[in-house]
Amino acid sequence: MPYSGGPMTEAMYYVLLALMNPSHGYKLMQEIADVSRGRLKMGPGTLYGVLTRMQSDGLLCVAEDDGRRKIYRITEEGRQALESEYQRLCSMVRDGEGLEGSESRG
Amino acid sequence: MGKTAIRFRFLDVHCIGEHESWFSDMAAKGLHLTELGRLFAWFERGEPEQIRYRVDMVHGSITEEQRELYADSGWETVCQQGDMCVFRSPEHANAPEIHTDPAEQAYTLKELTRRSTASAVITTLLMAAAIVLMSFAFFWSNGTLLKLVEGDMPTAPILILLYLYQIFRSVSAARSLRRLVGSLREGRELHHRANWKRRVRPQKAAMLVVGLLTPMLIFLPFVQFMMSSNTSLPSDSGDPVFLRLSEIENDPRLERKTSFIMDGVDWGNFAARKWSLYAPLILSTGEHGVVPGREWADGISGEYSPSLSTSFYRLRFPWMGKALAKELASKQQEMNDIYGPMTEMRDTRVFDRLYVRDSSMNEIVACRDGVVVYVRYSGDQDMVTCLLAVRDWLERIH
Repeated sequence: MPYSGGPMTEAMYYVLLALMNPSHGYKLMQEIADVSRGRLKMGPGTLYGVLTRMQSDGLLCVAEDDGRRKIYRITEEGRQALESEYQRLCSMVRDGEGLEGSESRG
Repeated sequence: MGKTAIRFRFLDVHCIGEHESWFSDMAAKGLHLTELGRLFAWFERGEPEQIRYRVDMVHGSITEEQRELYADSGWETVCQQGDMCVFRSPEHANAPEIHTDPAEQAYTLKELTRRSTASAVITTLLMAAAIVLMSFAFFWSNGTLLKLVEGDMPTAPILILLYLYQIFRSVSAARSLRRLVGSLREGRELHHRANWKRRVRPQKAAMLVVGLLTPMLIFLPFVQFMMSSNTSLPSDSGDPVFLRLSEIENDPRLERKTSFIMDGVDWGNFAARKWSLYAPLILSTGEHGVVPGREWADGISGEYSPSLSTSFYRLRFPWMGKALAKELASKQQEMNDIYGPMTEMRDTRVFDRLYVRDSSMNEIVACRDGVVVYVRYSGDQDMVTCLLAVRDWLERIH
């Protein structure tokens, strides 16, 4: 389904985040692991599917293509979508801050 | 690595986990997948190994980029059949799973789901339309059993079964796929060790039945045609399977009255043989006689020329006899309604079922031990004489 501005999947979010620095397929997998501090180890199938879909949605594009490897970068539209998702996630965390207080009281 | 082994592919394309499990089990026996077709899978014989196989849906041909990305992650591309692409990785390599996000994997099945649903809808509509048309031709008028026994539209029941099976398969496949996609969207990972044997067993049974039924579509009409014949009735009454006019008339002066002859057959005194799946012997006879010097009992109809028509059905399934007799009687009543009703005679000790019509012609429909006969006699003998002749006929052919 084309991206319509709603909540992103975890895979979409981290791919866009990692593509703040242009990168290609396999290296991108490692950068996603780095940016998530080892929490998210994305499979090649998941990555490829997300890259293909977001490219057709205009959230990222091919920066270089030497015939063997494609280097992807985030587009302006992708940056805005990423920023919007980040703000949404921050709002959600802020809304849940009361949970931390109740835990320590418990 | 050595010889090639071919295996029939019983699994449908939507059985992703079952395919993966099957390939892994085959590798553990030393059979390594090399090629996948719609009906068969090719394996190369080698050493048993613990290999993980994964199936990914790829719309169109797999790109070099995807192939390399997977290879960099430890997954070798094995083959592609349609949208189904197969990858392998040795267990000991501990390669990361190809799909780590079930919701994203659900998206890869979108096209397959769309096609599967469309196929189920189209198949159901087409097959249902065919079934309705055939049923209309077959069941609309009276005499369904008679049509079946006589071999009219011999393949209709088989085709209806096969069409129903196709509907069941395509609808099942679409439902299974939708359930899988729903499960993935809920975050449940695909089961890579799904029990493929549980899927294959009913498929094998179904394929066996289809494999037996499908050739019958071709051979059945051919066999029916080859086993049908039309000949002139023999001049003597030697063959016990025929009821002859002389058995009713009992007049030594009775002579054959030849009618028109075509293709070497006297069509006034003929015997037609047929075969059908439900009646290995079907006979129809017509016989015309004349008694020179004798007139009809009414004194005004001229020279006495009695006639006899018979139909004989030896049923493969004797339990069909009574129902067939009833249909035959009903059909004869409809055809010659002006002669009055065919009356069922109950409490007969000789026949399992008996219908008679005593008019200008004597008509009898009788059934006994899986043999059903229809007799139409035109002559001066009475119904009792006809019934005795039919009784003797049925007794001698048993």
